[in-house]
Amino acid sequence: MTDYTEIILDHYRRPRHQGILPSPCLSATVSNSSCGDSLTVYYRIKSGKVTDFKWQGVGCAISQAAASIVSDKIIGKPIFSVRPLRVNPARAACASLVIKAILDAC
Amino acid sequence: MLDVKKDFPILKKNIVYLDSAATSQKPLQVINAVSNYYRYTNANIHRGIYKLAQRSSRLIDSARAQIAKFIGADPGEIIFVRGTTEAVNFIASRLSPKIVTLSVLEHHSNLVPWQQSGAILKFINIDNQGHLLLESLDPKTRFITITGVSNLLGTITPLDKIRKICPQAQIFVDGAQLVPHFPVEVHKLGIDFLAFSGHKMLGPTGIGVLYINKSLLNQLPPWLYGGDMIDDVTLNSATWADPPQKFEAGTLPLAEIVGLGAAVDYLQKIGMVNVRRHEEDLTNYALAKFKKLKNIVTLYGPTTHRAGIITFNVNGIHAHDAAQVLDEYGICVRSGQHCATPAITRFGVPAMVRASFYIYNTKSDIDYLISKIPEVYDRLHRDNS
Repeated sequence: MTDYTEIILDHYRRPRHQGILPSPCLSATVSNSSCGDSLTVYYRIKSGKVTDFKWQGVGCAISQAAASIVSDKIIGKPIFSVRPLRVNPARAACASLVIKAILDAC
Repeated sequence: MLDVKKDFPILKKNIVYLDSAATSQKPLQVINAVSNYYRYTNANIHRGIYKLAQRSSRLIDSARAQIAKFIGADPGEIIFVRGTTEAVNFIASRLSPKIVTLSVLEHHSNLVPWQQSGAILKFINIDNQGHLLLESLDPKTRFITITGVSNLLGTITPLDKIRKICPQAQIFVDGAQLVPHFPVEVHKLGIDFLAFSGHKMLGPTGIGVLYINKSLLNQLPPWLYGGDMIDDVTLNSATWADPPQKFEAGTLPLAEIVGLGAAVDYLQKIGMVNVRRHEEDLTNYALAKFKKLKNIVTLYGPTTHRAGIITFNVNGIHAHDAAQVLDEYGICVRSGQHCATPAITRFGVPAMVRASFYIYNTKSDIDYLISKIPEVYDRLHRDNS
């Protein structure tokens, strides 16, 4: 079973909501020292729901695609509604980097 | 070229194993030695009067003699430890030199214990290819701890040159990547300490060796206290056994020592000169093949005269992604920072892929790796990278 599915590769090649959000309500930068990955998330919240979300960082395909996939799902939803992408256990830290960033910002 | 793959049961599976710098695979001879020890000889050593214990003791003593001879040491100069990491921690915490000179290539295990010892650290720098810049080495240096071979770049440390530049220095060598792959004679090299791990040289995990030159054995205080390391004990005091027992508290990992003895025996039968020649041939072959991929691959480390370690990145693709796609083709390589974060950051990349070789690898393993790298690139590269 490959982790490099069409969906992952699509988000990796055409990342959604990548960039910097000016004057966000919340933001955080996290890193994964074993990979050298780092990721910053920015978001705005209104009435408990995410109204805008951007992310920026360097890292592997899994961590980048996971951030993009989460960014697609999270807008319009409560912040705690996101779940990490399911991948090979060796790559779980990569897939959950974006979740770590979101929670760190709270 | 050597042809020994048949001795390694795990390699009969459909894998190309290129991660021997992390741990080596084990030949049947080692697996059987460990298993036969438990089947036929298991008893604690040095205490039992009964024949089984005496047989076990003899087996351990002869493994010690054989392992010592393997590095050109006397049997009394080697101490059994869990691995290289434990050996460095022992010496860093007990010898506590005031100023320690290291290279910037050190594995974390030969860096962090010295940081924690409270010593002032001085570093030997590297050039762009990862060669050590020994011109900066002060001849008055008193204590050097250095890797024999870089686990990141395959750089071979010229230990003889370091000994010549610093005749007064005590030299500790992290031999984790050296002893499994090169002929080593500690007395000829004139080094004072040498540490290495059994599992990287065909032996079991949990057993390693610390060589201490006999002139220093009596100066060092014990590290761990307990059974077997004492001479006499009263309720309020104790005296120590002679080295090496003084440094070997508690029951040793007996089966693992026997297994390491069998691994050394296996390597000696091949001959370390032949081991090195085999890996040198493979490495030169791999370097030549990698050059043909220079449009999609970046290579790190020395371009000639290096150990059987090739470090690279597929351009624009994170090392973990490259390693995971290679795994889908049955190729085991390591990716990440290789416990050498200070060294890797000098190359301006977050991670590297490492393929490392041993006696059981063949040119066809390398051909297979090389054939899959363009596929990694095709599957994961992005137009903008």
